[in-house]
Amino acid sequence: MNISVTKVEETNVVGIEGRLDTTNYNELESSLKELTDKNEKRILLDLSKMDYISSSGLRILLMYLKKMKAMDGRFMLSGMSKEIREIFEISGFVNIFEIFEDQEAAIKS
Amino acid sequence: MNKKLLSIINNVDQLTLITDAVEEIAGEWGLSSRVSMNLNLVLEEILSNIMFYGFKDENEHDIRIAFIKEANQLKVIITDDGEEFNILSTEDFKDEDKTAEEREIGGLGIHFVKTLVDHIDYQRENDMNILTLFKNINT
Repeated sequence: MNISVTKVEETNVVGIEGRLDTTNYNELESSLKELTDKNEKRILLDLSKMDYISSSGLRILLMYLKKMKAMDGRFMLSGMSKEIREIFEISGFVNIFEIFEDQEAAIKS
Repeated sequence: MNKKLLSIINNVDQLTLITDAVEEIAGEWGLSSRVSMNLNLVLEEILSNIMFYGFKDENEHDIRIAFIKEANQLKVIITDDGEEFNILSTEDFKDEDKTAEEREIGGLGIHFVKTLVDHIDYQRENDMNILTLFKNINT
């Protein structure tokens, strides 16, 4: 998995490329922690290049969604493939996350 | 060849061997990307569960995985000598409709397994867990 963090206007865009699973979820956790430690209020996870996620990865997303909500911030997702979306549907995560078609739509929101 | 056998030990780093094996059979047996991703996910959830909670000692344990293709069905048999764990007797997931604040961090892996395969068999024999998953592959 490759993680990139860039700032577009007020939004911190975290790009995830490859697989997010039990063997590497802690890498995403440290990138997100760095942002919340700096009290950043807008985080967008760009999932357009992510091809796999397991429950270990989803746990980190839920943890940071809760954390950002408690900080009055926004934690958004964009660009998920049909296969990844199915996993979000099964877990009920489509109902609790703000999910956008693409990066631009999330940044503007 | 309609059968592939694999043996790993109880270390999460070994999960990459599962990814490789699934990729290999997906190519050989013509599985769709959706089926192979779901299979990969189900196996990661089951195997990480065995690795994290199945063993009371610090020793190395073998976990065996057999992939068998029968007509339009894929059968995966997972055998381990850990604590008895019958996935079929776990409670059903009830978190789908909860708000973010109400949701617990956990329970998702088992839910994925139960949802993404078509049938599950479980047996405890000679102090071994034998879990068999059936997945239709003509989708």
